[in-house]
Amino acid sequence: MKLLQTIIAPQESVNDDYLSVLKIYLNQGDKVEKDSLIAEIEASKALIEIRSDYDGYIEILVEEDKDYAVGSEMFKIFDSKIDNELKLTEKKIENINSENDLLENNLDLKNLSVNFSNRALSLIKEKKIDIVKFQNYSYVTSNDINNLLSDDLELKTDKIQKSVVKEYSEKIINNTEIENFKFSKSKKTENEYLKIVNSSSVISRLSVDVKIGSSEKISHVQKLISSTPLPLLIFEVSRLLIKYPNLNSFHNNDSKSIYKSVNIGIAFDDGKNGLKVAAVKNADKLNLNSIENKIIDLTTSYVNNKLDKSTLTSSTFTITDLFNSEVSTFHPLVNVNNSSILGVSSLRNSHFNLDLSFDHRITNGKEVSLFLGELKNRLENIFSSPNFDFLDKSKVNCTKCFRDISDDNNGSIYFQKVINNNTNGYLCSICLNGW
Amino acid sequence: MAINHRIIKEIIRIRIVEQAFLNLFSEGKLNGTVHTCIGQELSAASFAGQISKRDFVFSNHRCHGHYISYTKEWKPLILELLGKSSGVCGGVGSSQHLHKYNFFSNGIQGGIMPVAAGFALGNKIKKNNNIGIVYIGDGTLGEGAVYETLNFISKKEIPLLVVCENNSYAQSTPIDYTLSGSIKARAKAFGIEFRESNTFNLDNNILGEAKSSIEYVRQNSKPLFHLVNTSRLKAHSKGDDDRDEKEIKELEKKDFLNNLIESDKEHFGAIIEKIKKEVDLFIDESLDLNEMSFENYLEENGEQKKIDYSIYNLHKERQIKLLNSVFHNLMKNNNSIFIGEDILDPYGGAFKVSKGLSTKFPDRVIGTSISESLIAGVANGLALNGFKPYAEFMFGDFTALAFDQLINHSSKFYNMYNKKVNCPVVFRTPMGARRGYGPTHSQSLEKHFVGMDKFEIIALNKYLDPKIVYDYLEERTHPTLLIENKTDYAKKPNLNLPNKFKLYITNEDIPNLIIKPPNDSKITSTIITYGGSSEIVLDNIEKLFYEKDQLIQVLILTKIDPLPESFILENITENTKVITIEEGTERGTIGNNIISLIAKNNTNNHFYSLSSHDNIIPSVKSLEDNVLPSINRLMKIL
Repeated sequence: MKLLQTIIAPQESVNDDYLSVLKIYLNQGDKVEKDSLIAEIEASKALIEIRSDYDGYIEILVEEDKDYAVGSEMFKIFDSKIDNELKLTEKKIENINSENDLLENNLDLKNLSVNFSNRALSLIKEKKIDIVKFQNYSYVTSNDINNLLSDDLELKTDKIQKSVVKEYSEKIINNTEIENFKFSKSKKTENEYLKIVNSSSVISRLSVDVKIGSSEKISHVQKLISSTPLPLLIFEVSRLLIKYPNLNSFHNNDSKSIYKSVNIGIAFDDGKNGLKVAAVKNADKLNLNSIENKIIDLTTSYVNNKLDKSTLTSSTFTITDLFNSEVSTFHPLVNVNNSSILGVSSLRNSHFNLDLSFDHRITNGKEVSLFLGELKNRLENIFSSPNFDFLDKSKVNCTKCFRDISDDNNGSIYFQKVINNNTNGYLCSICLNGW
Repeated sequence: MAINHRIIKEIIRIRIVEQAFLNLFSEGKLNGTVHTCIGQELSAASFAGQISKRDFVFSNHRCHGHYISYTKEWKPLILELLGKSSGVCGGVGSSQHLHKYNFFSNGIQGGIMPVAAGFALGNKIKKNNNIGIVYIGDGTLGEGAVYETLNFISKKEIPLLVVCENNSYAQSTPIDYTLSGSIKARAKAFGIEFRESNTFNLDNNILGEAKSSIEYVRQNSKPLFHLVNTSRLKAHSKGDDDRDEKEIKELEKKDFLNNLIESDKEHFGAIIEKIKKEVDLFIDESLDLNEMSFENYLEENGEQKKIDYSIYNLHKERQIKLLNSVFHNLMKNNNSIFIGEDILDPYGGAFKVSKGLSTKFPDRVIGTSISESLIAGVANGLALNGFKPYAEFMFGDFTALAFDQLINHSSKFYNMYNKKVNCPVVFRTPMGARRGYGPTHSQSLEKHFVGMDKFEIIALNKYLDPKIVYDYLEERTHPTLLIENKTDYAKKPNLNLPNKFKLYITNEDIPNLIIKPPNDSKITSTIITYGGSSEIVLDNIEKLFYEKDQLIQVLILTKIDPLPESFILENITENTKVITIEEGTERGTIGNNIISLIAKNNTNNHFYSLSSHDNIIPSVKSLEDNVLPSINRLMKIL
């Protein structure tokens, strides 16, 4: 079988890129004579007749009503009968360069009819993304992948937030941590009565203001933190709570559960990591320096989102510190499984405000005002004492019992200046409490 | 020779009005300048004054006399020059741009000739026995359009009377300095009947001679060139008269009207007084009238209707076949004219768009000499006479030769004549390269025509059925520049869209096409293109997705000037790339206009534009391919 002639699609005019096959007058493998009409093809400006230059047998490579590029092979004339096994070769369509890529891209995605761009695919492999997330897309670019990743980050943060809240609210506090006291009948009646107007929770609030002079005083008292009196507050509050256990408890159906330990919760919210309360555990047993260190640790952990569950769920009393804001007074919201919360406002005219919101079902206005009054006194005394240095061991003695600061093993002793007729000096808290 | 008294009064009136204009100008009450015809009034009265209102007059900058003689009105002219809204053209056109009844004047020398020829041709086709006059000056004989027209009117036997007022000066240049040969020989060379008169003295019977020429043109339906020797007594415009005092004095002595008045001072003196009083009184009354308000001047664009999108099914024919059948259809309308070079059968046009038309519609298919300016001018004239002309420039590059007609005539008529006329010509031409035709046969010049008043520039593309565009154009009443693409002519709209991509067409007056990926996927870039460049994108959507990580939607604009703002803006989302593609060269592109439009409305897109490199289009294929926009260059940009 010898090839005599290959007839290609001719360029009739400058303006043609391809031609249309109008009619083919022969069938595959037919005998053809020299000069006989094989087909008619249409160019942009004329009709062209295709004729054979030889006698022979024709192989037809094109189809009627289809277009073929100028220069492509249309017919072949052989000298002898064409093998029956000869198959029609189909002309490739010009723009199919991405077909192979298509297959490659969708090899493992055959079940989803989603198309991924090359870059998207490599991102998926790199970041190990679950492609099922894209099952509702028809076309996915790297842009879509990046959007998904950034969305995820937000979701992650939100998830943690939700889990914390859940934990907190669902926490079952076991009996080793609390002591239960059933409400007296009269107290119950009082609660019901208050509920009528105030609904199921009965939160009230009392305020005192504390004079400290300038904010420089803070650094006289606190060695590490000078921007807020929070460490000192935690120190004083934790010790006072031992005297006022009602404020270290929570409402539990028809009883109040008083915590056995004092864990002061600090409220954190930097706008990014969400509102969280981290506990300084057993704050009543820590000295001021330790408390300062603990605050620093907790802050770092919060910022890095590394606060553990236990820290986040063990506060028995919470402090919200807005000392470094413009807030003059506010109504803090009592935390779950707490009965009280102390809000610290900003320094104005050498004073700052303390607002204490409390659950009236457990305590009452009288008790809270006493608590606040004592807290105010202790704070003002410390701030008004000139150059008083907790850590300076040499300076102070109790005039009554001659205790000095070195006797303070756990920071629970404080000294107060006393002026009366006979003595000018300091009395330690132990002696003072005796009064 | 006894002259009709009415005509004398007319001439006196013209002179007095012109003098009044000169006075008003000196008083600072005219905005602009005047070109008075003092000394040439007889020419106006003889020709424009002796035809009927069914005939037409085209005049030039020195048109006041012609206007008054033809319309027999003078008050609207004064109002026009004073800039009043009740003037001939609302004060918009003023001295040089007047239109009333069938009187047209334009300030472009030479350009009025082919327009006048077109108007006259229109009369011939209508067989209405109307004729026309076009006034030119000796100075006009410098412009090429004059000769293109003389050739045309002679060959086609068009009933146009060319009156050449020879006052021996082209502005300040004496005619001897620039004019070679003789004026008579010019007319004779084109085989046009030539006659000559002068306006100097009563013995010369210019009125009779003019009448005779008018008769000639009307009876024989053939052109005539009538040279009128005359003199301009005042400056070309105002204050630019450097002629010797003595010379002017001589001319004044020769002046017909001066002599006439001399002959009977008392009689004519009284007439002059009367007319002067009338004119002065009218001027006084008119000085305080209103000028046109800005709101009336600017036309508001119509309310934009909401755009709807529907799936568009592609036709299967070659574009050239469709275009040819479109024209066979359009020409059935007796108002349609097809005019161009080399369009007659059997050749049927360079790209065969007009094949078969001249056989079927011999009266209205007009083949011309190689004269693009003439083609455009004649089309303009035909349009003014109520026809719908389709004018072809064989190659887009040749459009340059017709630029004056496009920008100073087609574009101006509507507004400078205060919205009283329409010029609905479709100027169509193939632009584009990829055939190796070289630098002057491959350009895409549409960007140079952007911004002409009342013009729309529209580009065909191989996907949109041209019938849709031509249906719109058939109804359109303002001029259009229609860009076709050489290489698209031979093509069929082969389109293989990737899975789930759809092709939509809008329901705008001129529909646009848009290709969108499915709604469930996020578009990363929008490509905006038109004409022959659309193919570059549409053939490569998948490639751009897989290899360049871009999920694109494509806007194929049909109208590219003014841009379809709503269509473009409502389809661009923030934070996506926008790429414009066109075949024109880099500077001052249509793409720049598109980007500017989007940037004024969005703040968050990244813009890219792909156009031909800032160079000429070379002939050799490899260079040509690299200069023009291509998929490779597009891939590089992304």
